[in-house]
Amino acid sequence: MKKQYRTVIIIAVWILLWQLAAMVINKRIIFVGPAEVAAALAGQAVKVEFWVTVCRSSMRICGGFLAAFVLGVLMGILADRCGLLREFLEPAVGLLQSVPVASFVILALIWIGSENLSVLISLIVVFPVIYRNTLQGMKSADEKMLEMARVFRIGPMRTFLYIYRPALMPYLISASRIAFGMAWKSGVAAEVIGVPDRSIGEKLYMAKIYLSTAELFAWTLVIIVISRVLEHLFLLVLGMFDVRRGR
Amino acid sequence: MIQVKAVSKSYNGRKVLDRFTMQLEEGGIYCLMGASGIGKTTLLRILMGLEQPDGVDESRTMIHKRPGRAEESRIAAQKNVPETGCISGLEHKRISAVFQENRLCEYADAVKNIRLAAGRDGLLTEPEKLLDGLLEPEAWHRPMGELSGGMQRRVAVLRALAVKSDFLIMDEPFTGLDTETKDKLIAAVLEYRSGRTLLVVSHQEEDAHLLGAEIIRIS
Repeated sequence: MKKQYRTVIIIAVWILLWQLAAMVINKRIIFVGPAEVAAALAGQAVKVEFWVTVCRSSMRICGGFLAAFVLGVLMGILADRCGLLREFLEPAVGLLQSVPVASFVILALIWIGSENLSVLISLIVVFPVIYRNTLQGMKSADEKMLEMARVFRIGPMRTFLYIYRPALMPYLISASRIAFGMAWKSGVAAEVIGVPDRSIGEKLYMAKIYLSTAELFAWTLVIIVISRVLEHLFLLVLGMFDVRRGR
Repeated sequence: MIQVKAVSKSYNGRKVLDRFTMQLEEGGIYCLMGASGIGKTTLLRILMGLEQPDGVDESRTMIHKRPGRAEESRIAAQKNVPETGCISGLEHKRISAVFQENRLCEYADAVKNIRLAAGRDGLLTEPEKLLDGLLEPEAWHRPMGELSGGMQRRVAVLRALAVKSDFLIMDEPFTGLDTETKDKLIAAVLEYRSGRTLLVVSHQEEDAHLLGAEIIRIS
């Protein structure tokens, strides 16, 4: 309880400092204070357009994340079972991780256009993280328990559910935390470059054109809040598959 | 009859098991005794198909990491040429085991752990029946991680008894148990063994007497 109070006070102090900084700088084009951001946000939130934009971008970025998550886990499990597949995928996954996101964005823009650009970009960014963590998690499965399963002739499905799954879970949870944030950052960046209609990236781009710093700050805040809320939601759902919680 | 003939096993040039021979009659109870580090656990691992005796291609065990392949490894072991030792009588035998460690799923409860091990062959005895009198009813549905070491040991032993199998292998099954619990558990082992061949590793002669086991010394 005490800790929570402290957090609230600390955040309040930061907002106060922010307001003070805005008052000292006193140039709305360069820096805006919390009051102006709140006003810009309030101005947006009453428009239907705002919610449509938020939904469209969220669905694309989360869609890419979910596809990458499922694909990453599946491929990770397969690659753990089959060494040849793992070796075969290694250069491709390494490439995905080392090529700059901006290059992918331009390439994807040429391939599929701007409409679903952020789906592909968040997929590309998330997949290697989930894939590698799945591999690590599978490797961390208790060797002694696997021997037990062998001796008792426990089927692959049960072996997965009761020996691999608990080993996999902590890896998937921490990987998802990292990857979810990455998906949003890269997804929005892709939208700023591709400027698809009615997307958060487009709004940021417009804010740049009109030098509307308040709008930029407001949309940034929106991105932070939405990505955090959806991340928690995802982790909640993921937690339901966690054998370590009861049952 | 399970026959182990002149089986050796060495790790990094050090012989853990040196030309060991034994014979287990179908349905017999045997107690394997010997000083620590003499290769008892290694022998059990070979019988379970988790380890290959010397002279058998090591790479075969490495490939058979998947569950269900233990049997094939054992068959590979007994096909071996006599000069390098061989094991016979284990082909198509289903094994259930108590390992030196409990090797239970710590997130699942006792009943679930026993059912989990049943696999495709199903259970010989229902877990509730086995647990009755050996584990306090309020502990039946608590995850293993919350139970004491002694409780976990009992579940590990009961798991081996519960599943359908032909050969029971138990590596020091009664460690960490007080006398009263041990006596009860031994009674359960004898009752639910249901005529299966039983091989127990123990340090105490008393265990062998209580089980009515024939002692096999390993030296």
